[in-house]
Amino acid sequence: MKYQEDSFYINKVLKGNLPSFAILIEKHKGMAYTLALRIAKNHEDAEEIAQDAFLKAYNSLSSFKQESRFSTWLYKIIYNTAISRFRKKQLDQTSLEDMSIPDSLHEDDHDGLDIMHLRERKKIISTAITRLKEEEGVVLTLFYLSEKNIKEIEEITGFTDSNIKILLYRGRKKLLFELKKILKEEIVDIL
Amino acid sequence: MSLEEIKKDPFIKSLLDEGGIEEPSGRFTHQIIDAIKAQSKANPFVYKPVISRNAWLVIAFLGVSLFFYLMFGASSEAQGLNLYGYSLNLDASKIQGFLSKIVFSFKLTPILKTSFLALAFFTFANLILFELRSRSFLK
Repeated sequence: MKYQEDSFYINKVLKGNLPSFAILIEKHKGMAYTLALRIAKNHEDAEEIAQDAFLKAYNSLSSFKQESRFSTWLYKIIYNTAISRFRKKQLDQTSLEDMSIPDSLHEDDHDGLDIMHLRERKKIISTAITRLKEEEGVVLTLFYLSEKNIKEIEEITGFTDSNIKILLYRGRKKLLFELKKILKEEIVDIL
Repeated sequence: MSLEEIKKDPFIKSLLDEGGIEEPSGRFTHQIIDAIKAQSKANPFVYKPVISRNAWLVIAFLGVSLFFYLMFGASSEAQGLNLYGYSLNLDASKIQGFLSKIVFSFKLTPILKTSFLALAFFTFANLILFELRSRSFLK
């Protein structure tokens, strides 16, 4: 489906057109859900968070100034909803500095990924992303997948510029590390 | 590590692209729309009058004050008004003069004066009752 600009639907929703909000949900639900999943780490909670965030967005749509992009505003609501729900959850205390994380995968690891079926690859990559810290997963997803710039990520998460760069760097390293670990486990299982 | 370095990492980009955007359940959108509809039913539209209650109170106060001024304003031409045996020295000449300007050859009879007085009394009583009732409702 080809979508119009967000502002087109927003103006309609503000005039009381509910189906236009359904279109906005359809347009953004994938990314919204993915972001929620990066923090919640399970599908049920992620779906609840994303739905809750969309409901909050609907209720406060009149306060959306349209100075930033709607997606940035929505992801901020999702991030805050997810974080407030999981604030009490103890974060993984493992220090990244204590781990020996390689800077990149070896050539043979690339090959290992290449020979796998698409579905298996997707599953492995998803598992590796799930093993990242919540903040790392969110920042990597926003930067690479949603292609938000650092300023927009700052607006969404409230992290500083340097914090975001550190999270991107550590997130990348840890993703490669986890990927390598999973690939080794898979090979051991096959053998 | 510069931002360009991060952006130049095509392998990470391809990994995240391949990991892909996750999709929620098929009922996702419907559930949100249902929740919005349920919420609208639970919180029906609250009627907001164009003229607020406070504005009405001010208007009523001004109206009643004007009426009392016209009825009881001191004048040497005060006329007696007999209210069920009680005699009140009311000056209706100002009301008489005022109304006769609007309505040609208007004559303010004693019964009309009594009606005006009763109307003023009931307006005041209603305003007080309305205020008390709305305060107890808010508690």
